[in-house]
Amino acid sequence: MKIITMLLTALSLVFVSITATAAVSPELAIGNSAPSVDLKLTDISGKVVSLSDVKKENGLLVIFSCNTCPYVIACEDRYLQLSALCKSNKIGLILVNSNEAKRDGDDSIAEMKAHAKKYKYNFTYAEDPNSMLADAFGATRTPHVFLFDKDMKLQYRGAVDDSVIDASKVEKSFTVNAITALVAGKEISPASTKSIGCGIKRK
Amino acid sequence: MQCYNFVNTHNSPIMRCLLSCGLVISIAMNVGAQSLEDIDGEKLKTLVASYKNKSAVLVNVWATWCAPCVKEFPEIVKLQKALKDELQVIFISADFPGSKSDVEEFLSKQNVGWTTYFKNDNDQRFINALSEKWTGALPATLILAKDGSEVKFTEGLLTYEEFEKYAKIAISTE
Repeated sequence: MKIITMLLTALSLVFVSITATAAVSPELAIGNSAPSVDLKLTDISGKVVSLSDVKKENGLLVIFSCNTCPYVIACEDRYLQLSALCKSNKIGLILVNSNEAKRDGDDSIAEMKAHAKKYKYNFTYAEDPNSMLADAFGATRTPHVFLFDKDMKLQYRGAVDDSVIDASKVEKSFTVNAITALVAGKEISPASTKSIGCGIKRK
Repeated sequence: MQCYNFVNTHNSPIMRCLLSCGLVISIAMNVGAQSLEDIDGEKLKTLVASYKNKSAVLVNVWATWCAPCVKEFPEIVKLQKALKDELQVIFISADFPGSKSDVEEFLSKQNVGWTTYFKNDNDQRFINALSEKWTGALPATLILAKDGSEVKFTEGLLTYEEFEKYAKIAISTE
């Protein structure tokens, strides 16, 4: 019995060690399947959800976000526009907060709840345990956008638009254009963009 | 002010031409004057290229509101002062337009004492001008050897020891 207990303890230590050193994947490539679709995330209402749960008939928009990043705050208005667009096009929308290192402060569930109320979120805003989803996606910053089609293949990734910090200077609404092209069955171009953002605060 | 004097005492046609490109002020970074200049992707490429075969280069993109940026900033200042003849640090603030005074106040508190830069360009153009590897997360650091080859690119916080390790590799790579 003692030997079994010791073996189980050793195995659990190995598991913890592997989990703790899990590497961050490279940024998910266009055409790849969404990873960790059944990972359990807790949303601001306390409900446990997964990407599979939030996905709708035509796909899923995942945005890595947070409560305090100035780039996020600057594009809150566009989150609401994207929410309306997703709804009318039968695409699910989830904002994921992966700032595990700030979970006891600015990015706690209580703060996420207050943030969602302040900015009138009408979509799922969920906590990513130990930044596992961010690691699986290779998400690096907030905001960081990933758009999947009905088969959960990645069709667009990157920036919300070409002027995250100032809505009045937007010339290319990358994510809006990607959603519109996706539901129209047209090619998404560009399929990958970049914008500056706050690094995700992993533990 | 010392940069300004330096330029005025070198009033040759070549120097006037370089000044018009904004390079003289950049080359004179280590003489003790602090200033904040706008920079776009093209100017960044030209600035970095101006150090080729002269010194190793460390480019750090930061912002006053970015906690890890603020944490590592003094370490980079310390490193620049320790390796002033062999390494050129290029700080670029990615703060929002309209917050230059916050940046200048921060730079003064950190006793930077050389020309640093303020990003004034479309994100994507600027990101790609620095490195194809940069996804856009802050802080971002690129360390180049004297010959212009990349020694290290990273997103996220580094310690003094890590900065020093890569800087010394860059300095010793001919």
